[in-house]
Amino acid sequence: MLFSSEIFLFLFLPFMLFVYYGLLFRWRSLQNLFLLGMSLLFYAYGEPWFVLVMVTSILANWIFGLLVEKFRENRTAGRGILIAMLVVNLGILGYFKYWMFFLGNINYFIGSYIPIPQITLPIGISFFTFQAISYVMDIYRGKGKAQKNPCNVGLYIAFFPQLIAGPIVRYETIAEQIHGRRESLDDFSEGACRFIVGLSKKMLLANTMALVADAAFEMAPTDRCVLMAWMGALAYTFQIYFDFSGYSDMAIGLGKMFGFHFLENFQYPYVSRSVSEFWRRWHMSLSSFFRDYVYIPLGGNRVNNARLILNLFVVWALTGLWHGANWTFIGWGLFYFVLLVFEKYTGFEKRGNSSFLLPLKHLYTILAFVLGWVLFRAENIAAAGTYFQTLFGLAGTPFFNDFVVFYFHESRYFFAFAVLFSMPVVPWLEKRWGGRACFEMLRVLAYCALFFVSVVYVVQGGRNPFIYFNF
Amino acid sequence: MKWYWRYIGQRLIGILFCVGIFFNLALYDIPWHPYTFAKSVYWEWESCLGKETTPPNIQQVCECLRNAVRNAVQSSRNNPLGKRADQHLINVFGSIQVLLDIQSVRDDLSHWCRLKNGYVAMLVPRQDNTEAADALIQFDRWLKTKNIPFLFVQAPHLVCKYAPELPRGATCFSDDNTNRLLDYLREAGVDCLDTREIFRDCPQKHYECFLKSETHWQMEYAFYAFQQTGRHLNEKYGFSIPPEVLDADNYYRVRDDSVLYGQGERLGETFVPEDHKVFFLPKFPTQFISDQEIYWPRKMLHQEGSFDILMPPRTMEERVINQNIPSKRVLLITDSFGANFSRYMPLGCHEMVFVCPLRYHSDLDEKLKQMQPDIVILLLTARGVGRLYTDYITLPLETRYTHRRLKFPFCATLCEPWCASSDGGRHRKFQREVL
Repeated sequence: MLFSSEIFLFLFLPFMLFVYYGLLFRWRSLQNLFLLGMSLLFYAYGEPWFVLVMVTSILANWIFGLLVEKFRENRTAGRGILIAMLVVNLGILGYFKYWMFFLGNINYFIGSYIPIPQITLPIGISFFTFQAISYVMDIYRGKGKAQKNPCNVGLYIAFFPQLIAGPIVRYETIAEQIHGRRESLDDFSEGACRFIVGLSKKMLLANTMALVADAAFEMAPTDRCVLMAWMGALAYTFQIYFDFSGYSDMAIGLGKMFGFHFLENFQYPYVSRSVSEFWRRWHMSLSSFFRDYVYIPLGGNRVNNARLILNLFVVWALTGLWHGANWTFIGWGLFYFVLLVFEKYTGFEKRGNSSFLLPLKHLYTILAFVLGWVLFRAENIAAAGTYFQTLFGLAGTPFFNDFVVFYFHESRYFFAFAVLFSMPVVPWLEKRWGGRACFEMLRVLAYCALFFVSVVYVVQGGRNPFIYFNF
Repeated sequence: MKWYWRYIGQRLIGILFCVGIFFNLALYDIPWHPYTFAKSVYWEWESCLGKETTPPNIQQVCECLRNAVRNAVQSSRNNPLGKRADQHLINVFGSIQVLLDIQSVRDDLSHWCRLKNGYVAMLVPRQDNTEAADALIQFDRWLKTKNIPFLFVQAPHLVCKYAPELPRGATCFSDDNTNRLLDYLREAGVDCLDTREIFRDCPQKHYECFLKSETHWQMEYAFYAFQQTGRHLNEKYGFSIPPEVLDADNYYRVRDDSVLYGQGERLGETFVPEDHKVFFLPKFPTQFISDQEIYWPRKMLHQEGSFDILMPPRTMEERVINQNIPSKRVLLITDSFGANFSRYMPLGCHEMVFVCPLRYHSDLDEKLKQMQPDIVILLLTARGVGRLYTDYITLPLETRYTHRRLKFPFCATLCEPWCASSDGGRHRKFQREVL
């Protein structure tokens, strides 16, 4: 079930709100049980069979949580349980997501003919597996207490707003809220506003950019001119940002509607002036997960240079691999590894902050993430190579053709809005005029108009898949 | 005090958000008729499990249950209020597209574009129909073993071969796909007729004979295709279709205005131009007997009468006897494109059996033995050939012509003029003008 579908917006959500606030308001345990049940139903609507995988994961991690809390003081036992937990969780993830890729590469590199089973990837497995790992790890580190009731663990792992595409909610941030949260009209309203913003980003900007991006990437290389390639790359850059940040906004908004406060996942990453800054603003829940659970345990930056580079290599290879079982994703992760090492060892962030060099730094960062997204989007390394050749005029195609005219004409307004809203325009406006009566009333009208137009697009039933569902 | 307005505004947004989603909840039947909803889930589930030929495992049961709930939920919004609300929202969508001067709309299924002349056409991607063409060639050879000639009639696409009228930069490969398909079939010795050539010298007429808000041709175009086919049957297959039957002057042209078809419902009335339909009704006397199996509502229909009884094409199989023509039998296999053509084909033969391959569920081999047709005609677009292949021809050869399960609904938009307008106000006017 998608957040941007009629069934979710007009059936599932109102039903949930009605029962949660109308019928179960005084009983927290029943509310939690209801949220868990509806979350599993939410997942089952798209993946009825894989609900069992999730329930297995929930039960297994509940047991691991109890065991790790009991044996925390015993270093050997505690570590043993942690290792078992990692084996189980990463085993589930590895089987469903990477086994076919692994076998395919074995066959390719050593020339064997191992039969490759067709394994369907459960939606959101990367997200809920990492949340499950976070649960046990945070208990082990003393940052939260193990839940005696498996339903509460289930609620943390399977809560529908962040189940399918994040943000990756850390257990330490949510542990108190399972029982101790307080719903309020202000939180609900704030959540509704956030949800509307996310829905608009997805339906109005991401989906439109998707049309241009798909056209450019699916075009025959001989038809794709240089300008079309750049337009497609930029369109994908905006598509993935608005798609993913839109989903995160909806998830955060929905969480607030039920009294949960999730951490932010995006902080206007496209205004960054270095790749390091970009990764402090993009998918912050994932980067902080890898920082806290992989980078720091490996030693972080408190090691010698060689070890530091190795740590970064491992983290960025895993980051790329987490996104998908394809060499393009690994390549994408390692692309950022190279840039980050470069920035670290040249002191890039601290230097060149004059008014002349800052725009150049911004341009370098834009180029870095746009090229990165091309690699991310390509079907394989060869296709990415062909696309890069076209981008830099090395493919022998003309600079301009009629496709550019058509697709630019269709999306020109959306490109303009995409550029505008990828910058912190709204926070700037709120800072300048927030609180004034006319501004707030205009804001109400703007939100109502955005919601109405988004609903129009939802009903019309345009292209709708969330990109990060694939992970 | 400054932030007081902020809190008021935010709370107002929250309340309006709730009003919006609960209002839309009220458009579903589920809150008002939960028992009816539960029954429809049960029916959907029964129909889903009924299609399984072996006992289902638990995974299939879960999938069937999920699909049953999905279908029941989606259909619970198909009440008059829900459909009207959706159509208004879609009209707003169309208005937004017009306001922003956006020429094309794309979804998971198709890509629609407004041509320079205002028509809304589906942009067809480049397709490789080689496998489908091979299947057609095999079908031709199979029929030859039974001494039954086979004729492939290529239906046209809205985008005219000789005047595409596409906006700058938009591409449609319908003609390219068709050209390659026809070349391949002709090389293999399959007899083909290309109806795109009818208006070769007059592309404007090609567009006039197409619906503006649908992919299908008008009855007028189907009549000219029947003319072309009739002459070919007379020349090559020994048919004796009387010249008056093939003469357009022997027909009334009747026009219906202000009709809105499929794309109007999907893209909005402001995006899609108003349509009209032109019928060719014979001036000469006709007498037919028709037996059809209608898929919705499901029943057998027997009729006797003049040309009027041939109009509603909501059928998966139909047998028509023309009492004015003594000989020749035609088996016509076609999809929604042939619905108009099948109205005229009986005028040129004694018996015509019309079969929709996407819905046909009987034994074609038996049908041929029983009927002994003088010719089998397959009428499709290149895209239709590809779809026929994926949906039907990929069955194993031994079962291909013998059994076929029912699939998704047949296009019913072409039956409108003879049915009372009742849903959603699509027919704003119902004028009939004899030209």
